[in-house]
Amino acid sequence: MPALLEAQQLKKHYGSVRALDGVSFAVESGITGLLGANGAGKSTALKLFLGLIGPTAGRALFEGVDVSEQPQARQRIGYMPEHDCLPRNMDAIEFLSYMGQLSGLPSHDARVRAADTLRHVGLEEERYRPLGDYSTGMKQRVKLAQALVHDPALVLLDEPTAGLDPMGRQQMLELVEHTGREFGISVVLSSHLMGDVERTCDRVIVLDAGAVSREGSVAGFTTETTLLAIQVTEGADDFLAELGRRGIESRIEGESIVVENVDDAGFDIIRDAIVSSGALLYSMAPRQHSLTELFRDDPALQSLSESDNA
Amino acid sequence: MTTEVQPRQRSTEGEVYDLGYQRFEGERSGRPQAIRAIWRDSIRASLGLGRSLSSKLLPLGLIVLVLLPAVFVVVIAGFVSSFGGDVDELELDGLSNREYYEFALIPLILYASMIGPEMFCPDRRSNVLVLYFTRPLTPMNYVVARWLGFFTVSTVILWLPQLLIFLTRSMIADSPFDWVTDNLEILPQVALSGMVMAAMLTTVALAVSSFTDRRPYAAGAALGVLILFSIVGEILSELVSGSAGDYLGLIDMLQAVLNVNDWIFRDVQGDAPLANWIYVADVAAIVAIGWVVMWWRYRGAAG
Amino acid sequence: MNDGHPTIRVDRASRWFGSVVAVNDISFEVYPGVTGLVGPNGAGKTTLLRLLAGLARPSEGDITVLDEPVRNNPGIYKRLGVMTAHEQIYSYLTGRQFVELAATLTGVPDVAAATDRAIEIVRMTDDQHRKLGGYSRGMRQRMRLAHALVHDPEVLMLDEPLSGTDPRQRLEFMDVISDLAKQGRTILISSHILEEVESMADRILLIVGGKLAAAGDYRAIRRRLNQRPYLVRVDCDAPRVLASALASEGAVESLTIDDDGLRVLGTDVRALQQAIPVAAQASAVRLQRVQPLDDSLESVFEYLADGAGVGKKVPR
Repeated sequence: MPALLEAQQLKKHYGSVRALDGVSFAVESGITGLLGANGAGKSTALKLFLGLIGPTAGRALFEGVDVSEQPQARQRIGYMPEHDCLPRNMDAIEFLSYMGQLSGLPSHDARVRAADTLRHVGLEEERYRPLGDYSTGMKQRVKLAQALVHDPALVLLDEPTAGLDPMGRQQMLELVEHTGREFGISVVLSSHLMGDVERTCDRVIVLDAGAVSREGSVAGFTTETTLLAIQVTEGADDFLAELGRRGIESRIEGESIVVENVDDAGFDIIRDAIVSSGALLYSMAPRQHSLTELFRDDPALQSLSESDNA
Repeated sequence: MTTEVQPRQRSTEGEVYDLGYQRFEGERSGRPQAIRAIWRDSIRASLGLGRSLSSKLLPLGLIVLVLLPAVFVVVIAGFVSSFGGDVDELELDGLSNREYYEFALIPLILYASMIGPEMFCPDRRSNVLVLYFTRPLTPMNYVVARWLGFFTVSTVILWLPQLLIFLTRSMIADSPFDWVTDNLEILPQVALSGMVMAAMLTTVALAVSSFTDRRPYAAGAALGVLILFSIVGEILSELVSGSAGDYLGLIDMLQAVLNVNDWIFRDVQGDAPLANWIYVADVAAIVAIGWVVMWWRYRGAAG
Repeated sequence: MNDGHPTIRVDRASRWFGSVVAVNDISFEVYPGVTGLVGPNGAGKTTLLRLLAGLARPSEGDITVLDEPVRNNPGIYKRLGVMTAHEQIYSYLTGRQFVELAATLTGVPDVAAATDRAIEIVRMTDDQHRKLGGYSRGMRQRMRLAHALVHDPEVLMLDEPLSGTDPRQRLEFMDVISDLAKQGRTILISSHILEEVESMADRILLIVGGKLAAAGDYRAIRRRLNQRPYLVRVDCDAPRVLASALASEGAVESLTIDDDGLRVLGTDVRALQQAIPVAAQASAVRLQRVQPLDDSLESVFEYLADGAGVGKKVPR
């Protein structure tokens, strides 16, 4: 069976600008994050998969099909663009039902699915209001709904959390997770925010200057390190002194006291040092790698993540 | 005596229904369904259906305007004939199916240039095109569907006053039934001329409006193009003598389509200077140019 | 913690537009270091920043920056740098000209040197001679930051400075901010991306519905939310032993043991933080991990912004 999405030596040049320069990767079912700097080729890749533009060379395939040759295949893809794209004077239910029909659903089914989809994105109460009156958060949810209304096999989401406040962002990420895990629709999530990808995605593909710079499971990029980070909310100085007295080497990094390669005896010493210093223990946990390191030009950390994903 | 009150029977069953996400297992009809949907939306948009009250007012007003001349002559004709007068002696221009479009030309071009931009402009302005072209559609499918939608509405609107005139003429005839059977050939003529007029107006309005996303600008430009070419065509055919002037006059799109209209109604004393087929070709060329313009404007719209 | 002298003082400031109260009777002080300004859309963050920057007049109350009034006091802008949320940018200028303009207007003695330095800080030296109109969003944001800090101000106010920037630019931006903070500057920064505020800011101000809902270190804020349940994951070598040792603690409300270890739930955060290591030591259990769950700035934000915390007087 062909991969859900596959880029084969995919190239897209605009004049002398190489938006994509011969990338190859595959997207399997589940939720996949697409990360990259501005101009790294994320949007170009999405457009190529949707068949909106043709490649300079190579192929962009959806389930083994080149969509630019077979637009019909798009009835099983959903796309949520980054920018505003909603008509102002239609109400949500009418708009969604129209979008469903544009994807090939019979009128009756489109109507039923429009109402259901609005319920799934939490907009059933606003369904008769014109879209022009919607808030940013509501518009984002309508944009997601129009990508889901025809029950696609795959949705491509371009920056779905852009411009949202923390709660709006949280709700959107929950919807993305629902889409991928409960609705059974595979998701490609393009985002600038590593937190979005860390929270929702199974896998991540990092594009950099038109090439795939990193690819792997999110779990693989966020493994635990051998550094134990301890945060105390009171008595930090006493605790540090106590650690030193007991022969444990530690250093301060930001809010944390960090100890390297703690063994069983070490855990006991740390516990005892906390108790006898009277410090209040907020947290004690191995430090995790984070996707942030993919964008830090720190070769040591990068090689760590690479070996984890090998 | 007391009757024992039975507790109302209670259902002991309960059900929990799954309101979770449902997959769609039905048939997907792809592109034909998408084109049909745009066609239907175009009709609704041009009539303001499903839109706010204020967006219904303009189309309604313009349709009334197109019908008004017909209603006007019909009322006069009815009035005169009910007093036993001879309607034909009045020489009412509008009371002839052949002459109606010329008579109501201004309302017609107002209608087309003000409502036509409703097809393309809002989609461009609100950026919604990207949602069309990420569905099983090509830009040309979209243009065709929009054109057909507005063409459908325009055709029906152009037929309505013609039918009104036809009915009135039959009513005021001495024997309505005989009049209808004698003049039955008018109906296909009305049908055809309405479609030719609608095709020309739809194409010009849509082609011009494909250059801007602002409806007022598009409306002004469409109106300007129709009237300007008409004036320039007339001036040129006056200034340049001989058949060269007549050929230059072909840029008068309105006159050309009216000449085709006359030809459809087999106007024997037609005063058009050139052969009828030239005007037919002229209108066909205008429509074709409009289509080339729309194709050119939308060819790269997907990327 | 609140070391030194406050650089920004807000005393009972309000701002209303007609019947809409955008900022409602807010008082706080801002100290050197990074302070994050967070809140839902429409909470009044932008209005508050505009008041603080002297771009709008409070309907009531007093605002001072560096002990000077901020309204009708053009001299303050030599010591204050502002980056607003809305892009008012002259697209026909080059990036460098845009920064030079700010340097000239604020009366910097050596315009060229200051401009070089500011552009260097935002790492735009290579692209400084291109027109602003041709920049990407992230590049424009960086030039706007250079514009705000070219005169080396003591106080910087930045409204959503990271919007439109990509992951690498965000990291660089955050490094720039923390460098500036280390030099003893006061930086007030509003953002929707809480994980970034969490990693940048020493203190936060949370605005909800025009009101100040919380201020301070977010962990300290968290400790004050005594009605909100506090759930801790504890990994150890003998979860059952530790559970029975903790069961008698008054601060513990419930204990669960599953494959992931022990979960301890309570509301008295301070007592729990103390009890867990003490109980472990007393019963000779080896603690390997202690991790509060659902305790990010995000969940604190959600708790407070959702209205759950509003109206409840947080003990001071």
